[in-house]
This record gives sequence, C-alpha cells and structure tokens, in this order.
Amino acid sequence: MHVFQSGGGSAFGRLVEQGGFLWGTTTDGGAFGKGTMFRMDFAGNFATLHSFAGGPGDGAIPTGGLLVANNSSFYGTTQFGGQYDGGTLYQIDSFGNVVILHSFGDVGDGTVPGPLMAVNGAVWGTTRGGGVSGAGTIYVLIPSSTMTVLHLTPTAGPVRVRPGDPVQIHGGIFPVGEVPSVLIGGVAASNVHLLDQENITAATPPDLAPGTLNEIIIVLPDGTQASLEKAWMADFLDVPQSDRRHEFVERVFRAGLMDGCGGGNFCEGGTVDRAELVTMALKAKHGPAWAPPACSGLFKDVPCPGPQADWVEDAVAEGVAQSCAREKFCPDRKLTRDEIPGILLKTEHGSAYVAPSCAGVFKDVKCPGPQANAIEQVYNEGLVEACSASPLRYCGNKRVERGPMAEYGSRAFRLP
Amino acid sequence: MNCANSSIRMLRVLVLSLGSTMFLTSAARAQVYEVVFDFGDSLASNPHGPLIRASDGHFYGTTFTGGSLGGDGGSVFRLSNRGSGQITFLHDFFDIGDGFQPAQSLLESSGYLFGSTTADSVNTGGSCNGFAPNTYRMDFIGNLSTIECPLSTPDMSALIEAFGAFWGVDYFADGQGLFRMDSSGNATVIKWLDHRFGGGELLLAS
Repeated sequence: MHVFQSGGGSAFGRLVEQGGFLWGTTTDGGAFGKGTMFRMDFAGNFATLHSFAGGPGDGAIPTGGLLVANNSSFYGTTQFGGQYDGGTLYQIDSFGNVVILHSFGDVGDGTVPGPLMAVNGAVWGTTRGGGVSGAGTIYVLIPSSTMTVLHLTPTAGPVRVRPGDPVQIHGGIFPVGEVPSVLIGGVAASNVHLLDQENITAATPPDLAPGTLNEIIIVLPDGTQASLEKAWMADFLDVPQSDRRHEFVERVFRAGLMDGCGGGNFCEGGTVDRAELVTMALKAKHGPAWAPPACSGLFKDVPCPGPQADWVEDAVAEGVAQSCAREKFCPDRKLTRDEIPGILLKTEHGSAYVAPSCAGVFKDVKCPGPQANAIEQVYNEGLVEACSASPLRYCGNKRVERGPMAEYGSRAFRLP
Repeated sequence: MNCANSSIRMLRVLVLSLGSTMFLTSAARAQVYEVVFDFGDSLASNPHGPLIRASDGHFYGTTFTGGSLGGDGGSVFRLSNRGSGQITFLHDFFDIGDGFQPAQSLLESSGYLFGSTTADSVNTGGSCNGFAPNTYRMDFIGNLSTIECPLSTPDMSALIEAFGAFWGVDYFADGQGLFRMDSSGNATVIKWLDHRFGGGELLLAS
C-alpha cells in the first residue's frame, strides 16, 4: 500500500484505524529527521501530518505507535525530546497538532516511554529507564478531560456499621468545588468530601449485603460519571477485619476462587472437598472465567455431564490432580492435609514439578514416604504450616478447613 | 511469593500549551501523573512492551532485563488492580530453554498469556535453535512453556488473535513471513514478505 522511502521514515509501532484511515508513526524521517505521524486511507493515499522536531517543545523518535484518545485525536509517546529530553507523552489531533501532556525525565521520573494502554480514560504505560535507579517505571496519566477511579483505600470493610467506615477514593480529575454523589453497590454513601482533584472520602453505606464485591460510582451534578467495578468488598459477617485470615479470604473471594457459604458468611471452619480444590486450582491457573473442556466420562464417580465433571477431568488432564482409585476421582471426599501439598505444588510449579527429597523434619511424617517430599516442600515454601512446633508435627490426617484453604491458596496461587 | 509494595511516587504537573501554531493552543491543562511503581524497588528492570489488562482485571507486563525470582533475562509481572503499586513477579527468564529479554506485548487467550522473547542463547531444553527467540505460553500463576521457535530475529512482531488463531510476522528459514499459529505453537507461513518488518504489531482492520 505504501513503501517508506529511505530517509523518509521507518514505520514502527502499532497502527490504529480511525475514521476510515490508518494512523501511525515513523521513528525517523520527516522535516527534522526525528520521526513523523502519518495518515493513510485504504487506497494507499498517504499524508504526513506532523514532523517531530525534538527539543523542549516537541518529542522525537516515536516508537510506541498510537492509541485512540477520542474521535479526533490520539495519544503517543516519543523516546526523546520534551523538557528534559527523556521523552514525551503527547496528544495529537487528526490534523497533526501536538500537545505534550508529559515530559519524562524529571528527578525520580521515568525516561524512554513505550507503548500505551487506556483503561477507563486513564493512560497507562512503562518507561525503559529512569526512576530512582534507572530501572524504569510504571506510570499512569489521567488527562484533564477525564474523570476516572483508580482504586480505594481500604478495599474492604464491615457492613451494618452506622455511619459506615471511611474510604478514600483515589483517581481524578475530580472537579474541585463540585459536590459529587458516591454510590457503592448502588447505595448512596454518606459524608462525601472532595479533598482535591485526586481524592474523595466517603462513608460506606451500612446496608450492603455482606460478602459482596461492590462497584463504586461517582456522579457529578451534571451527570458525568466514573466507576470502578468490584472496588469495595463488604466483609463476610464471620470474617471481620480483625480476623487474621481476612486478607486471605478477601484474596480468594476477589479472585473468584471461593464463595461464601450463605447468609453473608464465609464459614472458615467448613470443609473442602477434592472437587472444590481442583476447581480453585484451575481458576487460579487460567483466570476466574475459565471454562474447562467438556468432559468425556473418565470417572465412574463423577457423572458426565455434571457440575463437577468438566473441572475434575480438566484438572487430571493438566496434571493438577490424580485419580483416587481406578476410574474414580472421589470428588466429594473431604480434603486432608496429606492431600493438599501435591495439588498445590503441581498448580504452583506446573505438572512436571517433582518435589525435592524429604529430610525427615516432621515427627509424624514417614521419610522417605509417599507424601513426605511434597509435605516438606509446602512447609519449606511457607505455603502450609506445621500443626505443632515442638515436636514438629504435620497432622496429615487432619481435615482442611475453608479458612486455612484460603490462606494456602492465596500463597500457592500468588493471588494479589 | 515475590511482592513489592512500592511507595507511590507522585509527580504532578501542570502542562501549559505551547504557543506555536504547530501545536494545540488550548487553555492550560491540569492533569494527574503518577509513577505507580519504580522497578528500582525490585531486581527486575527495563520494561519494553506495553501493559495489558487481563480478564481478571489486573495488569500484566514484562521487563527486558533483570528478575526478582533469581533470573536475570527479564520477567513477567502482574500489577494488582487493588492499587498501591502492588507488583507480583510471576516468571523470570533464566535463558535455560525459556528464552530471555521479552519485549513485545503480551496477549491473553484461552486462559493463558502468550508472549515472545527476543533471544534464547542456551536452550538446554532443546526446543529452539541457538539465539532463536521463542513464543511462550504462561498461566496466571507463572508456569511458562515455549511453544514456538522459528529461526528468527529480535524483530518478531507482537501476536494478534483473529479468526481463531494467532497471527504475526517473523523470520523463518526461508525468509520473512506472515504466519498463522495455533495455541500449541504450530505455525504456518501464509505469505512471504518482500520488505523488512521491524517489529511492531499487525492490525486487524474493520
């Protein structure tokens, strides 16, 4: 469609399609030899719209391609140029008019920015260099025309507390002087204060359902809205903030690996069966939306089709778990502490993982023995604790409860 | 687990529009700019590719060098969407059959993250030739396997997904080609190309 001539620019980075045209950048060429932004239609008609000049007022050497900002403009980055010659994040309109949104390279800032990503109006990117030690950074820029929510602090709290617990909503650009409304889980929050253009405080509504993840919505008087899904977790009634496993319960719940047990409770003391653990493992490996392949009827004790069969058969196919006997999986068998190390390690390290030989650290685990290697490895990795310290015992026959399972899963599956 | 909670360094700027007719001449613009994570707080360094937002809501990316799990050939990391710059390093490239120096964008598909490295010089795994970049597949916990190893240069494009397959441009034994690849890494060259492809990414036009 178009061949860039020698000295006329080397096309680099991501093209974008907008308004019937392809838009892109070149790393060199142009009037100043420092790159261009171009437009081309699908017939190959080509136009250079901007020649990057470098210096404090313009970027130079764009390499990250373009990102659509709106119907008539794009975001992009240059490796050099700008106020500190550390690169720029710029906005360019469809006529080639540029405004520098950020000059990289100030003290503590990154340099040499790369390609961009947009999420809810905010622009995210990385820099190859700069930062405190030159190792690069991750940054976010919220354009002045955008209102977005980045995160809350804290991310969870109790319900049925009047007034609710305070949360700080961080994002921007919140219009100072306005009085926004804040909805959490569709219910109006109280004590809303706009602290500055980046922060709002509010008291969580007391009437949210316990054990739920709630969207937060900020509404300005003119109807402008910004939202963040699953932003605030209404605590389970039986896992208060003071519970030492609250953080682990929040992680597995947010990751979609474990649900409550009903009535707004989590039931940390409840049992976990084999089918539940392999479902957790597969969701951790492949994301909460994972849909395993359809079952083929491998196990006589797992009806196919049935609610467990796809998960159980996929777990065996991926090497996460094994059958419990010939043509049986024992899906409803309650897990004991003996059984979980193998599944945790195969999920964490891959199906080919082989635990190192045991050293015989536990008084009640025979070494060498069929499970000793895996049991000592999960202990050494800090995934599963001993059941007594002196003498050191593992208690392999003890049932695994939901609270500890949330803790072990959070660690083994590296849940954020 | 290797998590590093960085203190958030915030740099706020007020950028004034420039007075040349060459540039937009809108009024003064206020915006928020934050350094969310500084890789100086970890042993990983020099991210090249873009971040992606995966279906779990978190951001994923790669560093070109370093590693926080013991490797020094780059890494794959996750930035939590819960804020405070919470990073988890999921995989380090050790250059022992898994390549090193990932640079292109990650792609999420079918419960995995797919990406490529720009080189792989050791290959004790035996699946790639010397100095050949590779394409890898990684689950969300960090288990990674090489799935494709063309005779390639560091200029392999980022993968895109379209029509039930992955597409990209890379160098093969017979030259540079547009290839189609399945999720197991079986690649077929669809079209040999005359012009040098310098990295980048294909675009599926409307």
